[in-house]
Amino acid sequence: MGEINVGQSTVHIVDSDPAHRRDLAQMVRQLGLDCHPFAAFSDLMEAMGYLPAGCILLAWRDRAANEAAALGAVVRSVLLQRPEMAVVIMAASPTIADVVQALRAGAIDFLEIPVQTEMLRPVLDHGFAVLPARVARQQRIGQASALTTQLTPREQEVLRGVVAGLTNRAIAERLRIGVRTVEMHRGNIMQKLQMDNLAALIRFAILTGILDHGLDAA
Amino acid sequence: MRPDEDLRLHHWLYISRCVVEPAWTAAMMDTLVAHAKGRNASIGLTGALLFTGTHFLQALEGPPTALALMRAAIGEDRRHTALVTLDEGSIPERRFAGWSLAYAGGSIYLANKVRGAMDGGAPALMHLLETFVGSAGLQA
Ligand SMILES: Cc1cc2nc3c(=O)[nH]c(=O)nc-3n(C[C@H](O)[C@H](O)[C@H](O)COP(=O)(O)O)c2cc1C
Repeated sequence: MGEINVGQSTVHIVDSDPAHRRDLAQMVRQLGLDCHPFAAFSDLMEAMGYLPAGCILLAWRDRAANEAAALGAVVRSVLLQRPEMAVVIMAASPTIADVVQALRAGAIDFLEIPVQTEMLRPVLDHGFAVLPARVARQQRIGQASALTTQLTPREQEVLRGVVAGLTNRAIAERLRIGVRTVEMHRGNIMQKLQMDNLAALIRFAILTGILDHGLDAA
Repeated sequence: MRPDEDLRLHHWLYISRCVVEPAWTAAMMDTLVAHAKGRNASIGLTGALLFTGTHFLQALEGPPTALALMRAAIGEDRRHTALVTLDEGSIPERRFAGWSLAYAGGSIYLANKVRGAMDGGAPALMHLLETFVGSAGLQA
C-alpha cells in the first residue's frame, strides 16, 4: 500500500433506504464535509480500494435475517481492507448486543436511525479526530511490512523466535540450525530492518502483527 | 477469620469522571489495566471496567474484605473524581469469570448511554458490561 489519500474530510454513506440516505448526505454537506453515498454495502466494498480515508456511516438494516454476530463481521470486513477508516454503524432501535458487537469489531461509534444532525455532528467530530492517528498508524505498518518482505523465510522464523522471547539456543534447537547461524541471522535481521536494539525490533514486530501468526509455542 | 466469611460475596458498581488529560488517557489505561489485572486476580476480585474517554464505569465483586480495601484505594485515586456508587451489597454468585477491560474508546453513543443510565440504570449498565466481556457469539 502506498500513501493513503486522506483528501478533504470525506464521509462515505451506505444506506439502502433512499430517503434516509438523501437526508444523511444533506446533513453531511451542511456540515461542510464531502460525501460519497452508496446504496449497497457491496458497492462500498467494490470501491474500497480507492476511496479516500474518512468516516464510513454504515446503515445496518437487515437484522431480521442476521444475528448481531453478522454485524461484527461486516465491520471487520471493512477494516480488513481499510483499517484506518473510522466506521460508524447506524441502526434503528439497536440492542446493547448490536452496539457491543459493532464496537468490539472496531467501529468507532454508533448512531440510532433516524439520524439527527445534533447526534451526527459530535460523532463525525469524533471520527475525524481519530482519523489522522489511524492513517499514520497504517502508513507505519505499510512501511514496516515492506521491510519485512526483505527478510528471507528463515530470517522471519528467527525473528518470531526472538520476539517470542526465546534464547538463541532455543531458536537454534527449534529450527535445527546452529547457534552461530541464529546469531548471524539476527545480525542480518537488525540490519535489514534498520533497527539497532531489541526493544525497537519488538515494537516493530507487534506493529506488523508478526506475533499473531508467530510461534505456536505457548 | 471464620471459614464462612471467605465464601460471602459482595459487589460494587460505580461511575466516575476521569480527570486525566485526554492526551494521557491511553497511557493511563495501559498502566491501570496492567496493574488491576494482576492485583484483582491475586485478591479474588472479578469484574469489568469501561472507559468512555470521559467516564469510568466499573463493576467489582469478590470477598467483602478485599472489595472494601479496593474500594478505599479506588476512592482515593486522583485520576478520577465525582465517584457515584450505583449498586452495592451482597450477591449470591459472581457475574464475571475474571477481571477485564470491557471497553476503552471515545464512542459518543456509549458515553451518552452510560450517562443516561446513571439514575436507576444499574441493571442496564451491568448488562452492558456483561455483554462486552461475554464471549457468547461475540468473537465470531
Ligand atoms: C477508575 C479506576 C479503576 C481502578 N480499578 C482498579 C482495580 O480494579 N484494581 C486495582 O488493583 N486497582 C484499580 N485502580 C487503581 C487503584 O485506584 C490504585 O491506584 C491501586 O490499587 C494502588 O495500588 P498499590 O497500592 O499497589 O499502589 C483503579 C483506578 C481507577 C482510577
